Amino acid sequence: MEIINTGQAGTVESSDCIITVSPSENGMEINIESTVKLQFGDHIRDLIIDFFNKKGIVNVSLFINDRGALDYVILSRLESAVLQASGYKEGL
Amino acid sequence: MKENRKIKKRNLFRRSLLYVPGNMPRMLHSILSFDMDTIIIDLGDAVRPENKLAARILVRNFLKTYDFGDVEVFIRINQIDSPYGFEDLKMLLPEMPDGIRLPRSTHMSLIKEVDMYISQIEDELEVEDGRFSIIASIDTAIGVLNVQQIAQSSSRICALAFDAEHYTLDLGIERTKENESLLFARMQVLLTAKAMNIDAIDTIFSDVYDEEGLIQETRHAKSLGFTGKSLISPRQIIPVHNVFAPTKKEIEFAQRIISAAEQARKRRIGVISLDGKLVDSPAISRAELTLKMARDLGLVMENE
Amino acid sequence: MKNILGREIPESLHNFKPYRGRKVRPNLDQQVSPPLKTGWPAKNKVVKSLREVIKLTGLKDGMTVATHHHLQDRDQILIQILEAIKQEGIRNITLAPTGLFPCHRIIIPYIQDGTIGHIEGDISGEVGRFICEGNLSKPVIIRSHTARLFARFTGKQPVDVAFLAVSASDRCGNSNGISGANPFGSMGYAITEARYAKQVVVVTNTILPYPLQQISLSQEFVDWVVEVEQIGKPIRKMPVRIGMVSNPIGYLIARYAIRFGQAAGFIKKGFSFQIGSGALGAEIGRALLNTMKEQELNASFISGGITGAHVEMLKEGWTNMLLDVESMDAEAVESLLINNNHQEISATTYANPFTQGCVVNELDIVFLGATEIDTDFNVNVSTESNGLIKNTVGGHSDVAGSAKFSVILAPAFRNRISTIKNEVIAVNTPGDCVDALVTEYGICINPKKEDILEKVVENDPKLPIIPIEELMNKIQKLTGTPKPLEFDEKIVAVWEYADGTVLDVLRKVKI
Repeated sequence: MEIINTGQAGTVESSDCIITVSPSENGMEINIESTVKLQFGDHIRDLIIDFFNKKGIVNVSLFINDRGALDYVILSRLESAVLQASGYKEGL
Repeated sequence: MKENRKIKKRNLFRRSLLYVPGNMPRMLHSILSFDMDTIIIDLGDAVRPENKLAARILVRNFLKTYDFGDVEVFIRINQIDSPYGFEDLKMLLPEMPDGIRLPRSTHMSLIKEVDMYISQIEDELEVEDGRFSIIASIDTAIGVLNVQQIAQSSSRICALAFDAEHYTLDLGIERTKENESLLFARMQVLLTAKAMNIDAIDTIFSDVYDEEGLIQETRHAKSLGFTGKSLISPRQIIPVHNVFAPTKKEIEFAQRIISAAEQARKRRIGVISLDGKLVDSPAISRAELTLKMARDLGLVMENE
Repeated sequence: MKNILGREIPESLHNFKPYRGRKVRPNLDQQVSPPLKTGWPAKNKVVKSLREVIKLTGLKDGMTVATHHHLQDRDQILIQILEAIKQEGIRNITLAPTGLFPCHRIIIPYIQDGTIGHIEGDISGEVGRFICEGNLSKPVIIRSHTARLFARFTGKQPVDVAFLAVSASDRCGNSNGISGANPFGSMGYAITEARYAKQVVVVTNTILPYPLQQISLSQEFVDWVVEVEQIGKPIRKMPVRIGMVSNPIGYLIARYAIRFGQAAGFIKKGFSFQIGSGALGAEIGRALLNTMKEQELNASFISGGITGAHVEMLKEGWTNMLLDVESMDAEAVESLLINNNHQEISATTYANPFTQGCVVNELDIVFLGATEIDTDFNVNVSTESNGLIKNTVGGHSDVAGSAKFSVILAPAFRNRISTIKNEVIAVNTPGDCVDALVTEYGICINPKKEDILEKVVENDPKLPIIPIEELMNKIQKLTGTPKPLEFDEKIVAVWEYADGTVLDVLRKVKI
């Protein structure tokens, strides 16, 4: 899978997160802002890298603004953002 | 957990059907603390068009992650004639919800189309035919007129749910707390459900903070014959369960029926009678239901 | 050295004794008498400005200044006092406030410029964060209401000058919180603060003719009276539909808590109760009122911080008395003024165990909040999960330790941080003072209350009772297990229990 444009999903409500992915030329750049960064920052990074690896995404820049989202929420927002960024459009 | 989900749940009652918006994580995972009979995850009005896909993905992962125990989960999908309806089915039925709540159930042909599509998915998923149920929302004038055909259009239909919000919108009238104009539609839905022996679910009560009003409307619905109500806030569960709770008289009567049945069984008598009247098997099922509800509400002790 | 809670209390903390258990054991040798004063011949106590009164009190570098204002987050006096102290060129004072609230962020510059050298008092908000970032050389000493009293009458923390906000005073210092332009209600804490300070200054915007009608704080304790233009913003009105717009989770927790209190036998005809502040407090108040109405259960009294919701209960006859140490809104202030069954009590009548008996000892059940709780039921109310102090402790441990039944209410997790942990960041209320925890996922009963467990299971078998470790595991399965915070060596805060022993210390978080 390839990131060809910018995709974004999620909200900044509590227990949610907003994720923006966009193309990059130098591998993975991951930026994490989180209300629980001290306790879960590393975990969130692992979660994201693992997702990219599984999808075969190598060059990507990601920013997450996390409001204490659980794993299933982060993974959902990530998937939505990546789908958008890889050119997927609903109904096509 | 997944394996169990392939088997259809047999719920005894649907008194409280609680809506939860499909794209709000905080509300999604807090819903599990409450003791509603049925959760209805809303992908329709509660989700803006640009978020439909994100909501579907979120709900899919939510269903994957959590165990719902005895609580039924239905997905309120988008209108089937919108660009989203079939996508909702395709993506979410593999996660084994108990069924869908179908908005704008207007014609037999439309339901048959949905029914066939679901059957196809059932085949692909290798689950029993009829694994997924349908709660048909009756929310338009045409729906009210066609309700009998609608109810007969698929054996998946386990309940008819009257939706006064959309119905009044369709009629171009205002929704008020009294709303005598709803009586005909309510009765039409109710009678059809009763005739088809499926559940009759009353409409939502939208003022979350008016507990008295909710209780009154639920009492009214119960008096007509409705057995459940759609809800928009967890605060509404307990008042609604209390209204649908069996009365002391009903509990005592049910207890007497059950003990009469047991006596008859012990003495190997085929015909059961109570106070000189014949007790048939639907009466016994009803009595069992009444007692289960009473036990769940703590109105009688476990062993009674 | 470890205290009996297993918390490491460094020997370097000069003069501190580790916590020994819930039962307070005062050392009677320690008591000091209130300062003797000569008020004869009568002097003129009324002073025109704060700067002038500071000169008159003889306040000097390094002395201790206590402050109290019932308006809490609406206080406008503290900043005036600090500015006056600064203008007088006095430095390095020890500030001993009953509480610092979010509005007090404006005092931070006075810490930075050295006017304030040390703080011993209850803190919250941005000042809490600032201190946790290590900006003071000595750790802040945080005392519960009772611990503060104890520090006064044992001479552990002598106060040179106490500045007390009052809404009205006469020229001799007789004062109250219900008269004047900006009434705020009960003077509970001011009354006790006045007893042990070497000099007492009342600060008001209303001076009335002698003698004041309805005296809360007597002239015998007051050295000076200062008139200022503003004492604070008007006390808030009770929010309409209090507690109704909150999260349904709170509603569920409140319902469980009431059923639990009934099953345990503490909510019944003639019972007494107290509810902590916060959103859950409003929920439980509403749920309790509904239950009282449905089952016709009257309470004998409600104590503590009094709100409009309590006032409604009194008006409608669901409680006989309100014992008010702190009025929380305008409805409570008005009620205190007109209703004889709404009684002002001092902090010592309220919660001083070193007497012939205080009100909290008579409480049947108390509902309190928590930011964290560990599997030994030790409670943290002050810091958030990031290790920064956010909330005051108030009388949390005092009430929990004295009431017959103390119940903590909290959501099972906030964002993705489980409320139950193996170890809390800071113990503010020790586990031996806490009887149970109610969350939306289940109710945990402290194993020391085995009799309660049996009773509850028998009376309400449907209640979701669960051992605390099991609930923690269940929650952490949903949320993930948080990485523990890492701390530096520097100690930024110390919490004292009612008898002056140390519950815990907080170190600076490594970021």
